[in-house]
Amino acid sequence: MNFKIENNYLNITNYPSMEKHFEKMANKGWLISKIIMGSVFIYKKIEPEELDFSISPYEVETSYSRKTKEELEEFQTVCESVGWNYATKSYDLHIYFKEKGMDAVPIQTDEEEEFKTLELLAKKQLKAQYFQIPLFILLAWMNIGRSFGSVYGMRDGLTQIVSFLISVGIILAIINVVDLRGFLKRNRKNIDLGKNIEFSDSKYYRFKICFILFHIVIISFIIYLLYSAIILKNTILLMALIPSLIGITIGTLYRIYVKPSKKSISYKKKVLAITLVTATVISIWIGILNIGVLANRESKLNIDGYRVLSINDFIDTDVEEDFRELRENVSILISKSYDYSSYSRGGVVDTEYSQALNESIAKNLVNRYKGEGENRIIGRNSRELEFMFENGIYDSYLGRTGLTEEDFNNLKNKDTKEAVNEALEITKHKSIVEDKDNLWNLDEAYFLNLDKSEIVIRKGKEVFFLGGEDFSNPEIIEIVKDRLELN
Amino acid sequence: MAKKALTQPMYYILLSLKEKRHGYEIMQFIEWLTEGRVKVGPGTLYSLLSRFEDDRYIDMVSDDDNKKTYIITDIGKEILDEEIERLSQLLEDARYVKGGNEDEFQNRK
Repeated sequence: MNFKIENNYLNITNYPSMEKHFEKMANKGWLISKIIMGSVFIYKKIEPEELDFSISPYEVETSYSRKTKEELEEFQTVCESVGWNYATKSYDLHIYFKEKGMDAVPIQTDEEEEFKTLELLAKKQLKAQYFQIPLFILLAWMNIGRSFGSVYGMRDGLTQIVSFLISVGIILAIINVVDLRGFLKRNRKNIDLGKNIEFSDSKYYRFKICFILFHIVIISFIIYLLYSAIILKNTILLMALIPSLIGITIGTLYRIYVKPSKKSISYKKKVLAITLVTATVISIWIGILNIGVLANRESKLNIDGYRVLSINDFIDTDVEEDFRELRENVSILISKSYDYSSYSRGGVVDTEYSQALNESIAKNLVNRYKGEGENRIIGRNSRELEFMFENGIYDSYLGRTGLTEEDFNNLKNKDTKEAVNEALEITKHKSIVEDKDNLWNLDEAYFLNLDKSEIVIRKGKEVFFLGGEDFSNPEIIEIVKDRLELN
Repeated sequence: MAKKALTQPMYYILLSLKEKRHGYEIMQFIEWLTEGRVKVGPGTLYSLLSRFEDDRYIDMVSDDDNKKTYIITDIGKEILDEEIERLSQLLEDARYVKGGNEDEFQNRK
């Protein structure tokens, strides 16, 4: 192999120890040739040589400015004029080498000035982290929260991958902030006292492990996207990525054309603000357009090979379905899943199919469906129950929740909050019930509402959620079991 | 609060830009002027040139063949003159003490 890849870590806090590392690698016949994301080091094969390395901070980019290619070439040319050969760069750290013992002016000749540049770079990194951490926390709240307890989190691969990505991102960001702040604090004191800059010679295992995980998750993310797009034909997922792509494109155009220009900072600030607003507006517009496109989608779906229910399975004469929708997914825990909705003027029938990796995961999924069934009962009934208890009225609505007049009378003298909670418990207890009569004759079956029009059933590691018919009716059960191959 | 003194490379870079010069010329000029005593490396030089340009101590006058040429501005000249004045006073104080005039301190009453 003419190249070698290494997981390592280079930042402003540890570059002198990396200079030594590159020297050792050159001694073994490997010259550093590229660094990706400060953590993936790519070496090219050379004859083993004794080389000196110099890593020099030179700020390349800020929020409003960026060195042009010509400026970087000029810096490189001058370094070469004094005896240093360019190897590569990692963000704002430029890596040069020369033959050991060869006389050359050091690239950095003043520690105070070097520290000023490092301070600028550290502040830039810290600003980015201070911006990222709250965003990560928001995303964590939105993604990880729903992964832990919900059906969606268990069945959706993207949510699971993004949850890992965010977790690793938060850990990396926090370690980086602590590391940089410590470095700045220590060295501001050193420079004030005329001492040398104190760099870290830590092996940075925490960073290395986090970066390995980060790269694994990124690769999984790409594989998931390709699999969803090509194999599962999940256009919704691809459309959801369009706003991100637009944001990246607009940001890249700003970096290429605005940052390196000679315009004033105030002009660039205005352009940056306009860029951000434009990217946001376009993203929202695309998002709305997506919803519109999806809402109007009436595709010619071929459901052969999918174990799903159609509205036509339950009526004598075939009707044209007004709208059909099939969505496939794959996740770490649920190897295969799809949702199908069949609509017509006669009603709607929903099927959610999941094939879990093992039975224990399938049981967990059933419990999640039950949990979500409970949540739906709370969501649908809380306000009405509160109103009824506050006003002391029992009406037909309460009858539909499963709460009898006797139950109501027993609770009405209690504190409203307590009465509502107890009423909800009664409703849940009456609605979410096991198929005790073994009508379905499967491993598990739970009705999820009072009129038994929602059910979750499990056979081995397969789980179905069904909605839209009376699933306690033996005739319906027979049709469903036949259609879903559950006999 | 007193102004912070210029560092050695800051001082020599500003001094060398009394004439139009590009990066490599600045390094050579400083080495020549100090007879090799002071060397400014490219990392130090280009970081300072960026900062000086942002602070308007220097102006870029041309950008030919990937070589930016700079010259000191009036603000830069003022900063440099203040530094020269400060250094002169330091030198004067040192000469005074070394000239054996310290006794005056003991006899100041």
